[in-house]
Amino acid sequence: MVDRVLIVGGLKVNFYTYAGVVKALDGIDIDLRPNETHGLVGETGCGKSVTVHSLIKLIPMPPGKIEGGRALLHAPVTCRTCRGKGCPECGGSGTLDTCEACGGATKCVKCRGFGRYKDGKSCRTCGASGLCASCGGSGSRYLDLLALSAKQMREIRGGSISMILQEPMSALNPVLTVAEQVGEAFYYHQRAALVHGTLAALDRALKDIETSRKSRWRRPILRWYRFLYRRMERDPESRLLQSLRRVPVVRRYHRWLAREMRAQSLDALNMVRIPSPEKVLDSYPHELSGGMMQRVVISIALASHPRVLIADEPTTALDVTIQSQILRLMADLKGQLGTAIIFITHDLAVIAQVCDRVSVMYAGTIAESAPTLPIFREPLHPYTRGLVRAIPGPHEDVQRLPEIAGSVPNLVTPPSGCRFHPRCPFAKAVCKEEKPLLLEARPSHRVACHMYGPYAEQWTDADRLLPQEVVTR
Amino acid sequence: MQPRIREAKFGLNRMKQNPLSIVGLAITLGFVVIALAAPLLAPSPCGRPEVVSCNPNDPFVMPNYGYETEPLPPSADHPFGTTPGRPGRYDIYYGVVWGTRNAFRVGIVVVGLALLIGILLGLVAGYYGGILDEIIMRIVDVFLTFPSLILAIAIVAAFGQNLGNIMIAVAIVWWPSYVRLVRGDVLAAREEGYVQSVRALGASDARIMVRHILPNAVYPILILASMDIGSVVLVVAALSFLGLGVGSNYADWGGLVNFTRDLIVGQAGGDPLAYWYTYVYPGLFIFLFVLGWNLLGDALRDVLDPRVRRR
Repeated sequence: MVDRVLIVGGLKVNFYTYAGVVKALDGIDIDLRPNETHGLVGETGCGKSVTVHSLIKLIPMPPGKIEGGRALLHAPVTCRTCRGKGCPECGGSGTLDTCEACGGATKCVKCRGFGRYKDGKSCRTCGASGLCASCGGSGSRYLDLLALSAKQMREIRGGSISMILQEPMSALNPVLTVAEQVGEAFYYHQRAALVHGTLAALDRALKDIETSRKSRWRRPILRWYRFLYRRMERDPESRLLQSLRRVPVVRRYHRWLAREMRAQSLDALNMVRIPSPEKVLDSYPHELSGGMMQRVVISIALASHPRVLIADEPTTALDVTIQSQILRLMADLKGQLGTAIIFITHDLAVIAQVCDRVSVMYAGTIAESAPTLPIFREPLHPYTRGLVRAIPGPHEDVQRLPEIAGSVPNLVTPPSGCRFHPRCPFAKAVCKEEKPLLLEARPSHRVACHMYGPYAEQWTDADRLLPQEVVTR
Repeated sequence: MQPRIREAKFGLNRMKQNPLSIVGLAITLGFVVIALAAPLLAPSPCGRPEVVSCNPNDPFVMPNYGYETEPLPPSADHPFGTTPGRPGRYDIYYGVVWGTRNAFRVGIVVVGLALLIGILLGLVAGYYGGILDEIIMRIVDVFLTFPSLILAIAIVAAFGQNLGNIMIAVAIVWWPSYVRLVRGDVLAAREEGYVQSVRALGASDARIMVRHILPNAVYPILILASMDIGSVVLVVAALSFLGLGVGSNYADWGGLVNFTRDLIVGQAGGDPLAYWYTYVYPGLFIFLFVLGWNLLGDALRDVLDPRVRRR
């Protein structure tokens, strides 16, 4: 098993608008580990949604443009030698997991791992890291999401990476039944499994006819259907079948697939614990409550057993009781399916409840990224410290919560250097000039702040305390 | 299919609550019956001695009962009377019954063409936007700058008077407003959450357009189309009345009114109402036909439009 399913590095997105170039994302780094829930927190407009939307190219382009960076999705491929049956080439697993560019060596092929060319210039291929750019230094096979064609991207969307949108009320099509919409998810990404199930059902029906000797006239029809589905199994995109589906009477063969789709949808609804799923399948979205709709949306997103599930504020529009039900459900399903989740929210309480790791975003940059507990116990970045300080305690009697002075900068003209420096109580000259990198300050605790980087000696221990904190000590 | 049937029942129930909808449905169904039963209601009188000329192969060509100038008043032989004999004495009842068939044909073909073009272009323009949208909408603007009836007259005059050309001419002036309407609704539907969702699910553009956007954007245009079937017949009747109809002996409501143009004000110095039957019956059919489709359009809004339908 690889240690990271998704590697986002230096992701840069601009929006070219009339008012000027909005530098929405300025170098986003996210590492997503398997079976992990990774929280993305930050205030409105800091680029949480833009980050995840640009991963699957759902931002409007134009005006949006992905300027640079990489987004690598771990993608084992079927072994070409044994075609998935298992052989020495793939170590019996049936899938190849080695990076094609570096052959698993993890070193950059161009600079051979030195990070520099002979003339001393930084290697442009690996960005001076010395690690293979196409696998991000893991040696495993990764797919560069930003370089995919539109068709490949469609296969990723809803297949390897699914998304739950904010508003369950508007996320379902009002004129289609739940069955049609859940079934659609299977039709896009699980067609092989659907056809397989359909063939099994056909075989069963044929056998029944043989043994019971009833309605034998159906035999040739079923055989014909079986022939069609075998064809579909070999070539899911077959032109012949696509056109046969348009022909009246002939298209009745599709009913077997539809039946299988319905069975799968029923299972999917059962998985998200919807009461009386049969009835819900035949409902229109307006007949369901908000919580039910969100469950349906989740079942659609998980239909393809994605490797990464992006949940964009999935509980913001729901009331608190439903919210906790949905959160618990998502945690359970994550355990069952082994899906990694990127969880976007601005509710720190939700983060504390569900996330294993948290990345705090500020004005299009990642300020701090660490496991959940250290973020709340011992935040390092001044912005995170301000956020955590603003959480009211259960028995506190305060008139006014402590706040971070100032407001979010306009991203058309973002502050130079560190984007937080105009609001930062610790800012020094260097913060204005140089953009801090997201560096590891503690084990697995990365922070983008000069106080912990190469310039750390400019701050004394007393300097690092907030005025209020000085008083309490 | 069960949930669909349930929704349809709900829609029909809503329709029943509005008496005007029932009236509209009744009128339109009445016309459908007349059109379907035309050969029974008005069989071809070919071969009868009083018929001067007659085409047994094309029932839309009205049989001629003579060339006397005076129209015949309603009688047992001619329940609605006949037209004056200048182009020929035609039985108004026969013309009106077969004209119903013609009206349906004209209305459905023209509106069908306009719908086809309108939905196709509107969907593409609204969904893709950008330069494609700009090109399509500017073409639409150009077509809309012409006064529609004048443009239709010009086209018919240029290409010749026959039924096909008339239908094409009216369709040409009819489609632009459909593109505008569809585009507007597609623009609204495109931004909906479910469109984002299915895009995030990996649906292709064509599938998003046809399966998710169109069903949500098509109701207003279907309602407009049903109302327009009446309006198209009205425009074609106007063309016929102006003498740009299919031909003098073709069963067509507008044409029938045209024959009696001089009688509407009465023969010089005579009683203006002397030949009332020559224009009242065809006029009444046009009026009821347009009224029926208009009321039916309103009824369809109750049944189809999901925004009105929500409980």
